[in-house]
Amino acid sequence: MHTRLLAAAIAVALPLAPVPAAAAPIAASLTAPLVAPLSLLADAGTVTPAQASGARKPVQDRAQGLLKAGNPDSAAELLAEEASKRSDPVLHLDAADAYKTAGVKNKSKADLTSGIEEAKIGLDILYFLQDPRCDPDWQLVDSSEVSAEIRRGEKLVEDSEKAITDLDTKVEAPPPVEEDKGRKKAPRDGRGYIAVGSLLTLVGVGGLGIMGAGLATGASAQKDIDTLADSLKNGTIMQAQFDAEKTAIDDKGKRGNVLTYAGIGVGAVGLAAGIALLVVGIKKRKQYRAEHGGASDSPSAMLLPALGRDSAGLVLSGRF
Amino acid sequence: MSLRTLPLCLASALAAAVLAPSPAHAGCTDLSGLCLEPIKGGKWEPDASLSGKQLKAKRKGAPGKLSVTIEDGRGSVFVDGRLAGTAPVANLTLGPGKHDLQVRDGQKILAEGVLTIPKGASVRVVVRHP
Repeated sequence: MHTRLLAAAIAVALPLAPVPAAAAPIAASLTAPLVAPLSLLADAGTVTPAQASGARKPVQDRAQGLLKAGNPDSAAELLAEEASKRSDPVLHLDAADAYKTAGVKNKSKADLTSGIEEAKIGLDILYFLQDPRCDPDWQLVDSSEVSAEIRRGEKLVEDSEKAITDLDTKVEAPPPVEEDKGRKKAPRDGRGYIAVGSLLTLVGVGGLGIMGAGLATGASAQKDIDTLADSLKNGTIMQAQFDAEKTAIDDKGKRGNVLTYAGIGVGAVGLAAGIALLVVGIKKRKQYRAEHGGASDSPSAMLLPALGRDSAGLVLSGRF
Repeated sequence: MSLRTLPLCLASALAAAVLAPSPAHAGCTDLSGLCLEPIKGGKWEPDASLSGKQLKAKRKGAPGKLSVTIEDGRGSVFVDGRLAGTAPVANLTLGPGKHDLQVRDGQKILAEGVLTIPKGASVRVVVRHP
């Protein structure tokens, strides 16, 4: 209540200059009692460009001092306040300029936005000064300077909007992506285990094959020695021939045994290690798929029989 | 819902629709770009203007109040050839009678004409921003 009374007193004491309502609704409601009756505005007297310029100069000088002291925020506030009091478009543009400087310095979008609004108010007034509805006794700017001031205002709006865009761009810029150096790392989906497991399983199968060959050689040698023994019993061959051939068959049998033992060893180790690694690899792959999904480039392996005229075997084919 | 309660519900809905306060301005559609809230004695004459003599004429009677808002945009309000403020303008004290009004956003004129303020009345206008 006291504030309203004080405001009313100030309104009476103030010179009868047009006082614009504030832009914001709250500010408008606060300053509403300060708005001079417009019936008085019409009688507010003549304002010439020279008078307006004379009143503007001390404000500009004070603002210039603040700007030189590196305080564009205070300069902008001072200019905006005085511009609003006097409805002076030039001061509005000066305020816009100071807000722009403050906005760029502080990286403040709020300052830049305030600057744009100040510039737009200044432009509204400048364009109205060229309008036939404008009171001929209310000439704040010399008509020869209006166009130049309009250009200045439009450039201020443009520059401030660009500064806001630049700030937005800097904020929204994605973090630099590190270049992929070298070969892409293979996913840890157990493909290595499966590859090595498959290889060892193949070696194990090969070992079993060697064992089979050894057993066959041993059986063949046994058969030969039995036949040779029968021949000696029947008297078909002499003891000396028997001894000579027996030595050769013994060597063949020993070779078969060696092959059998080696095949057993290689087959057992290969199959045990290979199957164990395959199990681990398959488990890891299942886990990886569950976590990452998809199986577009999953490893695969195929074991196929290969039969030829003079050979037979297995072919391992796969992608790891 | 039974047939007995249906008319009751319809009547309630109708009453609610009639009694509910309508929005002050659901959207200004006047071709002049300015909508004047209906008030006795208030008048808006788009594109009209006052002569210098009419502007300087003494006004008798209790002053009125003018509030100006702009839909979807900004602008400055000029009354009788001078800046009155930047929208929204609230409770601007004006002498009764005809006033020259222009609302503009830079080069663009949003509305202009002559607005009549009745004695002691509060007039509210909404200006459409194209």
